[in-house]
Amino acid sequence: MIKIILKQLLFLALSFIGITLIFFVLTRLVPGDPVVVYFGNIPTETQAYEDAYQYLGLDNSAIEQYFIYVQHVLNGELGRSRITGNLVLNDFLNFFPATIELGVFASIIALVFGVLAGVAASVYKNTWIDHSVMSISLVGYSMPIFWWGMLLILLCSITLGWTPVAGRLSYIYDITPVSGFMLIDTLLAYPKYGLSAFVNALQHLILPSIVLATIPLAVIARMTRSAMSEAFSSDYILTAKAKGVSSFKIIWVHALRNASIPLITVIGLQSSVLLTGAILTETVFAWPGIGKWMVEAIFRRDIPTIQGGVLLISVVVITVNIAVDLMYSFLNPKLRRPQ
Amino acid sequence: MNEVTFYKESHIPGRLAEFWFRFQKHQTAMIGLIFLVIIAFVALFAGVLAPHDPTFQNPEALLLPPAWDTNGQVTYLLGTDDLGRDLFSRIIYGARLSLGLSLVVVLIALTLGIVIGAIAGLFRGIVEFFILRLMDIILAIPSLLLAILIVAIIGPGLPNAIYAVAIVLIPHFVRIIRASLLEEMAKDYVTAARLDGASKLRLFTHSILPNILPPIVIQTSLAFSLALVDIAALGFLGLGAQPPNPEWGTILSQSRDFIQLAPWTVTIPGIAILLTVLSINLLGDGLRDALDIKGSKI
Repeated sequence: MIKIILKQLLFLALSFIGITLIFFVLTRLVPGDPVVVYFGNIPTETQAYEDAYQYLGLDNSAIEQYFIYVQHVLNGELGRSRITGNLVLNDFLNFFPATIELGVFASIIALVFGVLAGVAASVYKNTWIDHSVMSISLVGYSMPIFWWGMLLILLCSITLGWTPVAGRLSYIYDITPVSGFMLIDTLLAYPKYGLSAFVNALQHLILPSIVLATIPLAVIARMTRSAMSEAFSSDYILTAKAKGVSSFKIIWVHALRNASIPLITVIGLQSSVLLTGAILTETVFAWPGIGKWMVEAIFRRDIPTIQGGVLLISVVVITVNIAVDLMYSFLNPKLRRPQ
Repeated sequence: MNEVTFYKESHIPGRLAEFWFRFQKHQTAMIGLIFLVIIAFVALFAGVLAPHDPTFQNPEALLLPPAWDTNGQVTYLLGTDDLGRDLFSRIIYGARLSLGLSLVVVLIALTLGIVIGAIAGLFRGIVEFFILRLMDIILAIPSLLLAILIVAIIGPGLPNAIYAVAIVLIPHFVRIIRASLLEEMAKDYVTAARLDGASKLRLFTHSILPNILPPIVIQTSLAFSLALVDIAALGFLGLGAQPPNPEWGTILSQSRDFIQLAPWTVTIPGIAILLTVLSINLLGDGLRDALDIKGSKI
């Protein structure tokens, strides 16, 4: 176990070096004076320009400049946005809860319905249930989600009027952000608005979550089906059947527990898919999360925000991946060896 | 004793023939293939098939609904956009861009992937270590985000979007090629070739490459659908193809503002993307079954 953790930590360190190196090189490739790229238009030969120049260490060699950059990153100094002047780290922390809220809600949808559909398909293998689960999941897997989002807005919001078109909360509510998670914050505002603010937030959340959940749901359904089918053909299921275990228990306890091992890996890999999807979903639904923040930064050529933002997002993804890997080796008894 | 022995003439099909025999039994995969062939045909002969110039703006026919609507006109089969451009012609020319670009992207990623994967697998040691770690890092960054980062640094536009998506796809190829290369290297026929004095390059091109084609073909079909969606997504975000290019994602992003007024300008390009990606995935499913690769199902 310690060996696995050490290996993962080494990978984390290597990834950090690699990613910072890539970002350092890429941002130095941006045409123009690095001082202007990072700090905006400061007139040359002023004290401010000189300070900025020294801060980036532009007197030194490129390798030393890289180490100076890494030092800044490790100190949490990711610079300020060139447009708003806010600290990139603060902006990230402000926008990230919205994305987490969306991502967690989407994951729950994908997991619950994906596993249910996959189990149904494997139990009723080669029936119409199986065929429809497989075909629908293939369509879901092929779905360009930005279009899917627009389609759902057209159908549910514009034609049927069920859900709001965009944003996280109606403007009539004045909610003070406490946790950054709208569902929690609106519940905290219970004395002021009752449940109406919470319901409103939930209505805003439902459509983007469905859109974001589409691809992971399809992948989880297909994975569950194949893992469950494999489990069903194993001898221990036969033994359980012979001993007269109820089919409910066989499916949900014996087979699903063994099928969940490959599933964990797939679910972990979905964190990257979710973040990619969040960029598109947030753009379509004007959801104020990190995806929308990144896209806006690109259009404004706000290099410090882009650099810092992508760095932080990558760190999150890598950390999640490592956590999944550790969980996998912790949960999978096949990997545990007797001492 | 007059015994006559009959021998049935047996014909052993070649690899390609056997593959085709198994593939054509896969109905959905054939549907995907036929649809793709049609789109490829449409893309190739866009100039002949399109009824209008894709960039021609007709001020007399703004936001015209499709022909089956009571207000539609037959000359504009799928209606027009806000500038009076024929949507049908734009979709046809868009097929050229979307399909052609993804093909270019996949070819770039495939070539570089084979070269890098072969170097990693054949030379091992420190070279392999660095290549694999670099690929791990690229894989760790969400694909679209990396593409966005690259486009953000070198600027929006079609060529840059192509490089970005290609870079994102390379690691998958490198991993698959290295893994199957190492598997083949341990087999006797490779040892035999090596004992014959084959150089590493010859070993790879003549002995190993023909035998690791199935996983490469399957990865290529996966990469193809990923490339198509990613290019459309970049176009949608305004970072890929720029207007007035009729790339499908770009058409979608331009018609976003008219979703209420002219829903067909949103639905039709999306259906084009969905059907194309779907048929590539169907084709990939069939390839996987026909080439009999285990455990690579999504």
